[in-house]
Amino acid sequence: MKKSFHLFYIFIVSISIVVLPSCTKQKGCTDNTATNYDSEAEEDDGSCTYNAETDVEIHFSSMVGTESLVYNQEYTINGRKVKFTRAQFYVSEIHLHQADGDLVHLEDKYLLVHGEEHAYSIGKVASEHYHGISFSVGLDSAANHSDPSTYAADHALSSLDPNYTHWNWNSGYVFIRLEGYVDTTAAANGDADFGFFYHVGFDEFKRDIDLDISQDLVGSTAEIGLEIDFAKFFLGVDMRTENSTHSMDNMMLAEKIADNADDAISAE
Amino acid sequence: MLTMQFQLSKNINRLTNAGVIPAFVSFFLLLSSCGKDELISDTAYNLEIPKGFPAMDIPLDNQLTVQRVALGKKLFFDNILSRDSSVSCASCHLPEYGFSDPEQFSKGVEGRSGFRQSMTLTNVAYNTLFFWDGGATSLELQLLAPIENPGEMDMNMPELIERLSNNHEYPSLFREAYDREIDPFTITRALAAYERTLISGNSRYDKYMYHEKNDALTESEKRGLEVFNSSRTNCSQCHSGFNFTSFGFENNGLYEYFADSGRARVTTLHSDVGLFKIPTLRNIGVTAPYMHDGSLTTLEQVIEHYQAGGKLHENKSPLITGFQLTTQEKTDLLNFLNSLTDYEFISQTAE
Repeated sequence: MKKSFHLFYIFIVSISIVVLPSCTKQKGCTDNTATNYDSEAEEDDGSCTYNAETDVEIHFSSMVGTESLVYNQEYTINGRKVKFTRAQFYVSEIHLHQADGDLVHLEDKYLLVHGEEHAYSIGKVASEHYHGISFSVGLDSAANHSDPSTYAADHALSSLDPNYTHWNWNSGYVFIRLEGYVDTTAAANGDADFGFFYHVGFDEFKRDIDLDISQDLVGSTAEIGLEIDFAKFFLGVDMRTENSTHSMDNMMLAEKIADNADDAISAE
Repeated sequence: MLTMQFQLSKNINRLTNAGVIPAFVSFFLLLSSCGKDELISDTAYNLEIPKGFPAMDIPLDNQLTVQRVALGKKLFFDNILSRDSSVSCASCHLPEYGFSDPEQFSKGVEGRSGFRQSMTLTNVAYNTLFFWDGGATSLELQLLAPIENPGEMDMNMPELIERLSNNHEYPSLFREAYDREIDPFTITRALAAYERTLISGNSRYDKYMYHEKNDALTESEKRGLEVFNSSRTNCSQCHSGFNFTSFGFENNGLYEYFADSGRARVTTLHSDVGLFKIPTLRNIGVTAPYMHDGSLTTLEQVIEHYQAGGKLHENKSPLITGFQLTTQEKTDLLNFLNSLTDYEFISQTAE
């Protein structure tokens, strides 16, 4: 009886050896940013060690001229009363510039920046001094035409983001979306009661922003302070007559708004 | 690798010392953990590709299974997808009308009207661009539009997910089909999986053409096929191939001025103004009204439009120049077009 049991153990063990190799994985550090990255490892065993890193947030101060942006509050832009009900844009291709000229690319990091939320985590970077940050307002073609349903719920490009804005009838994201009310009277002496919307999409309207900062991003967390002056998105725009675009129906206006992103966003 | 095997077998040895049952349990646990990446419980769906049709490209992340197709079908016919639970996909894509809508403009929630004719879903998965203007670039992406558009189902994903998750049937169906929770991915994949099965290749024309049944078409229909293929009418230049479409876009001279700019709406190119998707002609006999705006109500009117050569427009296809047909030839052409109806396809039901 006992002997047959032993034979049975051996049988099971030998089957395990035959069957299991397909699912046993070599363990080690699988993170290629770690100092002890093991390129042969297939399964991470938690052994990775790293240089010191800092969790970085970008803090966007949303302004309209010299005042803070609050939705539904009245401001004056280009001599006209204006209220915002929505002001947002997608940010991608974030790079931090190191002192030696190297660029740190925060891969697969996308932000959906909107007027009433200010802090956005961009993840961990090596703790050191940085002298610049660059990013795109808008998305590269691949991301722009990707499927929103394929992203995890907490990803900025997911259709579950509360501010998600995607043209489902012309597959692509709305890079910049500005909506609200403007006074359209000829003498600019009325109320902000005419609805405006600027929906800027299309690959060609992605704009690259390059800002100088001089900052030590060290310690466990650090913050990069940037300012958005939403009034500057309307530089050269006559909001009385130029007050709506879905991009394709007014490409010139969409281009103006896109071009203004560079003026609207600055380092604090 | 060798060390790993050694360690595992050592572990199992240790377990075997403790008794037979733990050994068994551990063995099966180890096995099941290996299979986690694969869907082992699903039944492959046998997609029947008709003779004369090419193989279908199916995305790797949405291979067809019986469970996925069944789930997608249930969703397709379920009003739960619309904000006020008043319409389903099938409200505007009715099987008996070749998965299109006899109304000129379909009605969404609260009776809201669209501005284009509902397109047939006949062989829809063979398209690479969707809608009359080609604005959506995959079947899965296309699905977002009817669900989210205010004039159609006026739904948003977070609410739809909540609604489906609270339903007594859907959560387990999603788990069985995709082994994951209800989310935008699984909703769009399931619907697309079902739509890939909307294959129509069993008309009398197919029996004649691909199944050597010479008497499947009448003499009149055979003559109509010749008229259709002739360089006189040029019909088959655009309505070409197995699905009677080049899958391209053309301006057919319907108007001098197009209120709906068509393909230009998504490309912004002047050269695309008035260009619309060349639709398949399969099931054309039951998908009236015709054209992107449903402005022609009968096939006779459509033939007359092409016979006359259309209106002047700078983007009009050079193939549309007008032609002469005798009354008999026109009847033959009409009869041929009606032979493209696949009665098996259009008799599908929700069950």
